[in-house]
This record gives sequence, structure tokens and C-alpha cells, in this order.
Amino acid sequence: MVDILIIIRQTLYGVAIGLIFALISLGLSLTYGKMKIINMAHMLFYALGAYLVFTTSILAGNFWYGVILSCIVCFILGMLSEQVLKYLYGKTIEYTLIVTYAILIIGTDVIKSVWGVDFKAVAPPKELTWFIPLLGIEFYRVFVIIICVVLYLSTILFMRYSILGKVITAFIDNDEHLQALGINPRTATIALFALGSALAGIGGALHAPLYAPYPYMASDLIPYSFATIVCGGAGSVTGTLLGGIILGLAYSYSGYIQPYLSPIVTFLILFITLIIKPEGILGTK
Amino acid sequence: MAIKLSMKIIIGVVIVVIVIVGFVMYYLQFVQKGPQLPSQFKLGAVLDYTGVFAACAKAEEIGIKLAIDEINAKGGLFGRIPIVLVTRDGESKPEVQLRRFRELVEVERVHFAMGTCHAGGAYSLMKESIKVGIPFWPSPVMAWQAFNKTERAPWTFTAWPPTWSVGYAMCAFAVKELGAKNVYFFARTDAWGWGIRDGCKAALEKYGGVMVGYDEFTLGTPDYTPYITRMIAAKPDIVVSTTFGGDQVTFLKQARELGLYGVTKVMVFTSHLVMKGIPPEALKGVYAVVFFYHDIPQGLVDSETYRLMREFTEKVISSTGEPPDPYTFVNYVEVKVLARALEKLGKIENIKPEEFEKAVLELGSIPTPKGEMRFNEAGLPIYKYGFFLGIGKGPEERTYAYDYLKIVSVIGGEEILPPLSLLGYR
Amino acid sequence: MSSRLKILKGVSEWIDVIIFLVLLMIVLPPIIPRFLLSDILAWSILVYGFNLLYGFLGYLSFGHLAYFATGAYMFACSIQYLHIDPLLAIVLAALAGALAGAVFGIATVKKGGAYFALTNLSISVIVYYIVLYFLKDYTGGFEGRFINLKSNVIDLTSGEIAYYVIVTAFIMVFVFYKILSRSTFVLLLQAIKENEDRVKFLGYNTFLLKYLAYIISATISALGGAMLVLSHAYVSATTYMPGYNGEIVVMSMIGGASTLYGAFIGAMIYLGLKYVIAAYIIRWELVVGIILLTTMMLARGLGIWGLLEKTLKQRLTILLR
Repeated sequence: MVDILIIIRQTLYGVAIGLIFALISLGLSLTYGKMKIINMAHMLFYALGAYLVFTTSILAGNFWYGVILSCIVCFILGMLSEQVLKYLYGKTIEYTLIVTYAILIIGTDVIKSVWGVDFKAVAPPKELTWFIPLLGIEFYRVFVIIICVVLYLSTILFMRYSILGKVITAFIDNDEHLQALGINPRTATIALFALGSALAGIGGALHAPLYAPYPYMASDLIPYSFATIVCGGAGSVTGTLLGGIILGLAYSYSGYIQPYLSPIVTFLILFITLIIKPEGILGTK
Repeated sequence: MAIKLSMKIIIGVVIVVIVIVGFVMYYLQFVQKGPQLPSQFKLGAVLDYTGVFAACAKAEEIGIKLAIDEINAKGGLFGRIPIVLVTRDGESKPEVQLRRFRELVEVERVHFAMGTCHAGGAYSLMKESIKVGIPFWPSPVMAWQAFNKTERAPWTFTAWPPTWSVGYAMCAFAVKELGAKNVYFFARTDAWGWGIRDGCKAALEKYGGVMVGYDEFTLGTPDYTPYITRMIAAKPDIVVSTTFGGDQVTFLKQARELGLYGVTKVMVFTSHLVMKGIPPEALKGVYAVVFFYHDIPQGLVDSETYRLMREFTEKVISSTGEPPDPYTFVNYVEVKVLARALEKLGKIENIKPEEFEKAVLELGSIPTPKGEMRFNEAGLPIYKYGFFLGIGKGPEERTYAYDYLKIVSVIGGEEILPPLSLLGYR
Repeated sequence: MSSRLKILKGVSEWIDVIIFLVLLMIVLPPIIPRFLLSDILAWSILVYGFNLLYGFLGYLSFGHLAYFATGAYMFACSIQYLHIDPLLAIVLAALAGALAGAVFGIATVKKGGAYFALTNLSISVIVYYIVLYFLKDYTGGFEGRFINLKSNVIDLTSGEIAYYVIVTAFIMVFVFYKILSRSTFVLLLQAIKENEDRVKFLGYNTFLLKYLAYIISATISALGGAMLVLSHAYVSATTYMPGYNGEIVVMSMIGGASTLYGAFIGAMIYLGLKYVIAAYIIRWELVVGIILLTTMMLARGLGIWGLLEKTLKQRLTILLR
């Protein structure tokens, strides 16, 4: 006899975590789908976002400043990282894998030097810490869902209706045609990186109050990020969203039964998805 | 990036040369270490500077170094053999810890070893110490079964009471001090959680408490809400939780958000390291059991102990800027004690397990920053003041950065140690 | 004249095996601590298994730790619970790897690239959590357990003898790998790497070829796993955390994935670096990362050995002109 409230609660959790997966993986999905660059260092933005929100909550006592700071910092760093990563265009996948892996190791160690190795606690903003009585869930989680959906929708709208967004979409579609139009594809890639990184940073900032940031959080989340992208379909915005939600739900439901079951179930789903439809649920060959 | 092939070769060769040079340097050091007059005493420590347990390594190292500095200030062991600390990163992985330990013994030729942040790893090193012939003392809290007569290496002693004692103290406090008879026990699914549970059961039996609820969680669980919901439903007098480290931070945060504090009392075993990461609102009203605390009210312990504790706290604050963590305290004590035992034994090489054990026991009463302590025959420490009970302070009550708790009670003596009969000594 | 050349060829063929033997038995042991050497050998066996798929076939597996773990735990548990002689347990471990490879390979070898990498990663994650938690009582989980290596045949509890066994296993793997690299089988794999369809048109069952390669790779990796446990007399789940699959790729690429000696060189350099640097610098992860980065950017996928080979060949052809 499973309590209906428990199902609702676990579903909300699953959606929340799934949306965060999707948000932080979106940048990776687009860069991988289009430029075939597996950027393992992308997750550093996620970690950076979490740690920045921690620092601002200590210094300024305000959670929102932290989120905005993460967004801006990661945006700028994303643009910079494009400068570095552009050397990887056209290189073999294995090469980019290792170079970005090396950057990940270095980045993790930089985080350790700056913030130390111990556990950090980030408190969610006071206004949002009340708990919904019946469900036994903090309102903050619901808030995260709302914000992620808003961000995601804005991204989709941005891609479809704004000029820069259209440039990016065109670039993903066919970059040669874009060049024929006289538009420098570099603008698209820079914008892509910046956007993806900023989203990852915000994702990290939002996720931070739900658990404690620690130095290895970037590398630990990489498998989940890959799973999200591949399940949903690399290069597809809605695909990543779908992939994230499905995996988030799987993670949440199995986690209720036994926490160690979550990774197994999540990767089993990835495995099965790959076998049945390798390009992902919404991916195209 | 178009670099000429010849450049690349040069750089590639340089890297290979560096690696080879590194090996050769090691070899040279290795050779020089061979037959050595004991002009220095090498203490090896396998500490987890990286990985899951990274936070505790620093605290342990501070304690060890502090003790070494004090001993060396007087010339070292026997007044003339300085102690040299050699550390290796255990990476929070038992397999790596074992490898580093063997490295310390075979390559660095240490005379004595300590370490790890994790009971399982320390247990393996203790076992290995007998095989390699170098004494080993653990740095973290040990599982109590490790000190069973058939398990324990004779030369191994510890300044930490084992998991059993932690549990005993927690539940004794719960029933005796807080009047909380109905206990809901939250165990971690490993030797840590089960050991604390065993001690708790013993305390409940003695003081007339009842374990009305029991649940297990795995290390690293990110979401405690299903457990917390069950706790709220059970309506116990107190929840005794064995969460530690990052888990404790997460658990307390979520417990507060779910309103567990309004329904029942919550008790955890904690330390400065962990409390650093707990937001003040989440620690408020929580009952915390600590092994050492930097801010004890004056009437709780005798004046000499009070003075010693303050002195130690000042020492650590002046050298690190932060108050001592129990890990620092324990490792400091262990180094001080092993040094005295070696001096009593009269040698630092070719130590036999039984003779070292005898030397330590013969030390009798040993001064520590928490007052006098002595070991029982199982290698466990008897302190007059063992564990302290404190109440977490909310953000408004805190007067300085590390003002986490208001200490209200203390428990100690042989009572809190697992009975020798349980350990196979009677 | 021609017979002389043939004999010469015969001996020089195997000179590298002799060099290895000399290196591993005589030259290196005084310089490099034995426990590090046995670790290097165990890991290089694993990397040889990995290179079979990556170097020849071009399929990058991000989950070979799964087979490393399979071999390790089969070895450990069969000694512990079936009371089998350790030498037999080694064989069992390799067989277990073959079986696991056979089971998982059916699904994984369909495609290369990201598909292959991620399916293997998934397997590695699942295997890790099973040995970490669900089979904890048998495997010892995170804390791990000591393995009693008392054997009736030879004394494996002695570090010396265990080392010789590991060297033997390594030489066997190396010889096998060398012979394999000359075979038509590998030639076909390389052809598949270039263009699988063409090979299919030639009438070959590419799936079967890839499948076979996968099973062999898994067997070798499992053997490596058993060797690691042998050298430590200890097994713990932490070694097989899925995040460390990256290290296998790193070792392979440092040495040179498609070269004959790459696996050994890569393992030696990577583990040696970690060992040497960790002894001096606490921030060793940073230094390793930087060295990795620079090596990759310079050696460009060839690995150090590959780079050396290429330049030597160039110089040689210039000389012989």
C-alpha cells in the first residue's frame, strides 16, 4: 500500500532533480551535438555556481545575489573557455576527452585551493524554506522546478525568436549555410558556450541548497550529465529536458527504495535507451 | 597550435627524463635509508588529503605536528632523537591507504605509523602492521570489534573511545540527562553505525530506556526525507542519529526543513569539522555529543582539567586560527603517549608487539589536555571526562564564529567503554 | 643467405620480450619499489585489454573497470568462499571476465563512438554499485577485505613470488598481444575501424569479429584485476569507482594506444608520476592534470611511445636513403 503522498513527493523530487540535470547538461548537449566536443570541464561551471552562491551567502547574506553572480561569472568564463576550446574543433573525440578531462582535474584542484576540502552548507533563501504540510516537502524544491521550467522555456524562446538565438539555431542546423549568409560562426559558438555555461552555473547555484557543495561534485555529476544528454538526444534542447526529467524521476523513485539503487537504475535506463534508440529519445541520426 | 615536430620531441623527452630523474632521486633516497643509525625517529602517517574524507586529514595532521613540535623542542625522543613526520595521501580509499602504508614501511623505513580518517582503513593497517613489523596506532574512531582480543594488534592503542562508547554516551545522555526514554535510532549501514547502536543498547538497558524505532541509511545518502517522515510518524522522545560528516550536514538541514525538531529531540555525534558546515539554524536546539570542545563552562570539570583544555585550545588557535577538533586532540595525545612509551621501552627499532604493549600499560596515568587518562588492557582509553553533551546555538545566540554549542553535561570513566568481557578479555 | 636472415628475424622478433624480462626481473626492481612495479604491471594488463578495442578497433570503452572488478572479485571470492587454490582462482578470474564480456558484449559492440563509451560506462557504474553495496557481504564493499593467498602449489603469500607470478602473467599477455597484432584478426579490426561497411561487403561478419575482440579484451582486463588483488592481497570497491575509467584512457593515450608497448609505458608513466608527485606535493592532482594536458597537446593522440616511434621511423628512413 504505497502512500499517494509519497508518490507525489518523490515525483516532485524527481522532476526537480531532473530539471537541474537538464539545465546543467544543456550546454554540453549543444556543444557535443554540434561540434562533437565532449567537454568534461563543463561541469566545472556547475560546481563554480554552487560555490559562488555559498561565498555570497556568507559575505552578503543574500542567496539571490549569489545566483546572479554565478550566472554572470559563468557567462563570462564560458566565453573565455570557448577561446581555449576552439583548438579542439575537428580533433578526435578521444583527444578532446582527455584534454577536457585534464582541465577538469586542474579546475577541481583550483576549487579545492580556493574553498578548501570540507563540507559547505548553503541555506536556501529564508522566504522559501517553509515546508508544505501534507506533502512534507520544502517549498524550495517546488520553487526550483518553477525556476528551471522558466529558464528552460526562456532558452527555447530565445533560440527561436531572438536574433542571436536564431543564429545559434542556424549554426546548429548547418554552419556552412550560416557562413554563406555572411555571419561569422564564431559568434554562434561563443554565444553557445556562454549560454550553456551560464545555465550550468545557475543550475549549480540552485542545486546547492539542496545538498552540500564539495570539490568533487563536478566529476561526480558527469556520468549523470552524459546520461541525460544521450537519453534525450544530443543537440536537442527539448530532448535534454525530456532526458533529464525521465532520469530524475528514475533516480528519485529508486532512491526512495534504496539510495544505492539510484545510480544502477539511472544507468540501466541509459543502457537500454542506447540499445533501443542510440540517438536518444528525441535525437536525430 | 603548430609546433615543430622537433620541439615536440624535445618536450616529450624532457617529460620522460623528469620521470626517470624522479625515480632515480627516489632510488638514491631509498639506498641512503638502508642501514641507518637511529639519528631520527620517523613517524609515518597515512592521511586522506584527497577524496571523500579529505576534511579530517588536516585536523589530524595539526594534532600530530603540534605534538611533534613540542617533543622536538625538548630535543626529541630521549632528549636527542628528533621526530620526523612523513605523510602520504590515502585518498580516502582503503586499498590506497594500504599501499601507502607499505610504502612508508618499505621505502621510507618509518619506525611507527598512524593514520587514516576512516575506521575500516585503520583496521586494515592495524592488521598489516603485524605483518610488516612496524607499530600502528589509528587516528580515527575505531569500530569496537577491532579491539577484541583476537583482532587487536597488541601494540595498538587508541586515544579515541570506540564506536560502542559513542553510542553509550549518546543514549546515556538521552535517558539520564534529557529524560528521553523512547529512542529512535538511526544507524549507518556499516561498522560505524552498528557499533554505536551496540553501545546505545547497553546504555538503554542500564538506564531504563527503550529503542522504539530503528532505521538504517547508507553513507552518502543525499535525501533523508523518507527516513525523517518515518521518525515524525513514530513520535519518539528523541532521535539518535549516527550521521557524520557531510551526511550530518544534509540530515540536519532536511530535518529542520521538515519540522522534525518540533516533534522530537534530535541528537548527533559531531565535531568542530562538521559543525563548521552546518548552518546555524539547522544546529539550533540539536543535542550534540562531542569528544572535545573548546568552550566548556567552568563548573563542569575540575579546575585543573579546565585549565588544560583552555591551554590546549589557545595553542591550537594561535597556530591555526581555529579551535581544536577532537581529531586534533586525539592525534596530539596519541603522539605524546607513544613517544613516552618508546622512551620507557628504551628503543625505537625492532619493537615486539607485546613489549610495546607492556611499556604503554606501565605508563599508568597519562596527562592529556582533558585531564588524566589511562589505558585498559584492551588498548582503550579511560578518561574522567569522556564525552560532552551540548545544545546547538541558533544564529542569534552565537557570540563568535565557532560558538556552536552550549555544553551542559559530561560523561566518562570506565562505564562508557565496552566491557572487557565483551572484548574477550575476561 | 635467406635462411640466415630468417633466423635473425626469429630472434630479433622476440628481443622485446627478453628486454622486458631483463627490465622487470633485474633492472627495475632495485630502482622502483616492488609494490609499485606490480601495480604498474597489473594496470598495464588492463590497459592492454583496453587497447585491443581502442587501438585496433577504435572503440573507446569508458567502463573497463567493470572487467577489472569482475576479475578481481572472482579471484578474491573464489579463494575466500570456494577455498580454491589461488592459481586456479586466477584462471577462474579470467574466465569470469570472458563470460561477462560475452554477456555485455552482445549489446555494446553494435556501434562505436559515444554509444560504445557510454554503454560500457553504464555497465561499469552498475557493476560498481553491485559490488559496493548489494554484494557487500561477499565483497567487503567499501572497506574491502584481506585475501589469504595460501597456496598448495607455490607460496603466494610471499611478495617476491607473487611478483614473479605477476611478471609471468604480464609477459604472457604481452606475447599474446604481440602475436595478435600480427594476425589477420587484428588486420580486420583495423579495417573495421576505417570503414566497417566495406569489410561487411567483403563478406565478413563484422559483429562477430567485434564481439570476439570484446570478449578477449574483457578476459585480459579481468586477468589484470586478479593480478592487482594478488599484489595487494587486498580488495576494496574503491578501486573500481566509475570515475576512474578516465585513468585507463589516460594511461592508454600517454603510452600510445595503437602501439605495442604503449600500455606498459603509459601505466608506468602515469602511476609513476602519481607516486612520485604525491610523495612531494599534496596538490598532486593539480600537477598530474597539468602534465596530462601538456602531454596531450604535444603528443597529439600518438602517445609518447607513438611519437618516439614516428620520429625514429622518420629518422631511419632518412638515414637509409
